[in-house]
Amino acid sequence: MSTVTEPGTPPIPQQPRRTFAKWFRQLGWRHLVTILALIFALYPILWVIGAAFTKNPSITSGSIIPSTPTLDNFTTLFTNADQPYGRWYINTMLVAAITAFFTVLIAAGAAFAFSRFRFKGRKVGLMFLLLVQMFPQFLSLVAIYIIMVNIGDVFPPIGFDTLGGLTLVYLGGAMGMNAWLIKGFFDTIPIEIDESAKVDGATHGQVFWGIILPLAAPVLAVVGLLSFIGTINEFIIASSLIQTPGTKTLAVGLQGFIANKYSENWGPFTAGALLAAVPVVILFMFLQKFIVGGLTQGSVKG
Amino acid sequence: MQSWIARMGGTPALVIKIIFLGVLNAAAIWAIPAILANEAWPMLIIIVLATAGLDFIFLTKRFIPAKYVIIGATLLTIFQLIPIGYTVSVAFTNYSTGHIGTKQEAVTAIQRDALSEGDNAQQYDMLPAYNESQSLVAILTEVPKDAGTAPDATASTEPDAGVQTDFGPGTDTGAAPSSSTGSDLTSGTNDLNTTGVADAGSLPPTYIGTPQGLNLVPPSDVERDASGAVIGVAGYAVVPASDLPAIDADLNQIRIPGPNGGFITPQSFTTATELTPVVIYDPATDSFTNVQTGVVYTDNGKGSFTDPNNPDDELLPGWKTGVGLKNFTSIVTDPDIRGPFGFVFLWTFAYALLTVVLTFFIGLGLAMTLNKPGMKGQRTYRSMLILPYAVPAFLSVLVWAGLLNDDFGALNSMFHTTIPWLFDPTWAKVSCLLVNLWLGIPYMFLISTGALQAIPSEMQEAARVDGARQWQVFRLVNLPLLLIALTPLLVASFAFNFNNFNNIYLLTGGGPAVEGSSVAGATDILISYTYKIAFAAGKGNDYGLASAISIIIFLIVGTISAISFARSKALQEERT
Repeated sequence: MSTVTEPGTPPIPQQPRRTFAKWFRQLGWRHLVTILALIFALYPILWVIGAAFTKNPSITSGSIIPSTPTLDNFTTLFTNADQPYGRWYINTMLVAAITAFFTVLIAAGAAFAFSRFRFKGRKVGLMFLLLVQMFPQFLSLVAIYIIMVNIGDVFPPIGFDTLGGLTLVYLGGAMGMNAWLIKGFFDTIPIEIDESAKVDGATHGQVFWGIILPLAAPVLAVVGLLSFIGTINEFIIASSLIQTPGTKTLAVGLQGFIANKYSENWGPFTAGALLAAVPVVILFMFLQKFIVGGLTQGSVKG
Repeated sequence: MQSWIARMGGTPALVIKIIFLGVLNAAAIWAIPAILANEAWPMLIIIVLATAGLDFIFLTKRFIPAKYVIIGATLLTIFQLIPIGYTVSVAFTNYSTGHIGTKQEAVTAIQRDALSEGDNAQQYDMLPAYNESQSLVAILTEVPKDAGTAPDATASTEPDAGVQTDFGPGTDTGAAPSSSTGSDLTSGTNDLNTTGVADAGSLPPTYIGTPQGLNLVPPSDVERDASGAVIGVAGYAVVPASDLPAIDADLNQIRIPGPNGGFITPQSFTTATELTPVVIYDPATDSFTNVQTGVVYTDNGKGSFTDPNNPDDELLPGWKTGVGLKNFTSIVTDPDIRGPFGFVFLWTFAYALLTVVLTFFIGLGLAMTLNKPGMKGQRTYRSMLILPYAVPAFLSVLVWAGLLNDDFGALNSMFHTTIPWLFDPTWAKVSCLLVNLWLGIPYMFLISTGALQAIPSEMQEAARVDGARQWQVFRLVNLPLLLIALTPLLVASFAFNFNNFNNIYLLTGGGPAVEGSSVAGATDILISYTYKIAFAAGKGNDYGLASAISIIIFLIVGTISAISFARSKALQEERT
């Protein structure tokens, strides 16, 4: 490495080799490392996309680009009556969207109370939320199961084996960290804004809905999206509370579809995985800026 | 946009509030009759309290902060706090397979199931049939005790305390009513009828057996074939022989109180015997006595009736009862639990720690690689690198499980290797980490990029002016600042992976199996191990032990988070 021994070399005299070496030292290796990382990151994704459009794809095949693209896997996926993929898809999106929407409202409400009011038990309440969050909800699955069966005896639409009941269970975990995250953001909104609105005659409700929520839109988007993705990913509670094939969510349905049947169901599975991932990825990319901000918000704020 | 939202605080909000409370109260009132009918008292209390609480908070002008918290708090209470409370209470009981119900239920079940064929047991020919309301009943015809051929059958059945004779379809499908095997009592009836068919008055009585007891059928209602064998009773639909295997399980449940104080119990598809209890319960001494051996079984205080001289001799089922700290101490003292718990415990820590450390340093490395002004394609690189984070993780894990499959996984075929990625204990651990790297690096890359850009460039320049080399700038300036900013997120990531059930369960199922451990597999982390203890089929479910381990997990994660939280400034800010 002769370049290293001549640190004082002025930039103008150059041989082609040296320019490349210098470029490589400054930028080139960065491209190389990034490309290696990209291969690792993208290989499974590209591979699934390829398999989804291949007729009877072999799981063994290392080739990514299908020689004759076809939609067979998608047709198979939607015509299998035992595995109602379409229903799973609708169920999942519905449960996730409703859970995300109400999670944002519930957490924002709690955050508003903890950020803007001083009341007895406020600090204890905040600590309590944090503490409860550390007990994963599904560890008390036996109890949740019993509760849902009991609710089902009285309110069948929100009991055991219903999407309504599943949504309610998810909403039970809506406060916790989300309230903390949103409260962190609310705290950065100057209280003078609320006060001047109140001087103008605004009620606390108008301050919340009309001033605080619009200003906090970025963090609400983050909480909503994280809740949406978290709900789509949730496997264990859903698999314990849902039994009817037509009521399953994607995570439960696809797991049953593919587990121990990789060789038979690989094609339709990849098609199903692709369809399930696309809207989430698009949403994520769309809100990416907010997410990066939101993720670092809580910590960097200190 | 803002204006209509602002109006939410006025009349529309009031309308929404009234509709919400109206629906809530209507639902609560509508539910009360059903709750009363089910005698679900805890639920009644919860619904009344929740409804009254919501009504009060929303209708009063006071307690303004509570209006914003109450709905979330109610849901939190019902679906998180109450289940947690229940779980904690279960941790101090023996709630598990064989210890489900109350003591009274256990006594009833023992009396019902610990049966044996005594001397002189009454035998019956049986025809399973459905009555008018489609309930399964048994048409029973007495086999006279002096029939001569019957004792052979009696001798072939061992009097076996507490063990139900099981006649699955696999063993007995051949024993159609017409077969004449030695133990088939139908043949006995036929013998009888061929010898004494002339005397209609001496035909053995036929009964309808229901869970309530025996009802004698008038001889005129009994349908017989040419040889005089009973083939049916008027008003009852006899189950065809070909359908019998399908109702095997239902037949096994039949217990008909017999005339001699025992229970008439099916012995095959076509025969039944009145079995007498092996153990007799004495309410005065609260003990069972075995009528054959004389052994006395007493309440051992741990939810079972056992022989005090031989504590392992236990009558099943037991019942649910408090056992104090036994579930917690057994983790340390019981070798069957201590071993698996120990290696699961270590692997859980290793898994979570390695995941955080590796993903963080690789993610940070990538972030620094791309954090170079003037580098082309930065934005494209960044958005492509975080793609794995955007894909729902359960899908990624299921795909990786396919990629890593030994037999036909793409990874092995691409590299022409035969690595048992998921079926060798060590490789399975490597696979778990590999998949977690794929899932976790983009997140760490994302937060490191954000934190790197937040570091004032003057500080780095100042360090460089002071003569610090690139590495020194990183080690002495960037890294400490990054760690201060990111420690809470790293701790959260540790806690998340400590309980990362999905990745383990969907990738390896906790497997492969480990020698000497029936429940825990090589890649099981505490939470998947707990899940298996509570729900996995096979070795039975031990909710008590599972709840105890849940509490331990909670304490570990809680302690780690509390320490990190106390050290971060997040709480200090609250003091203002």
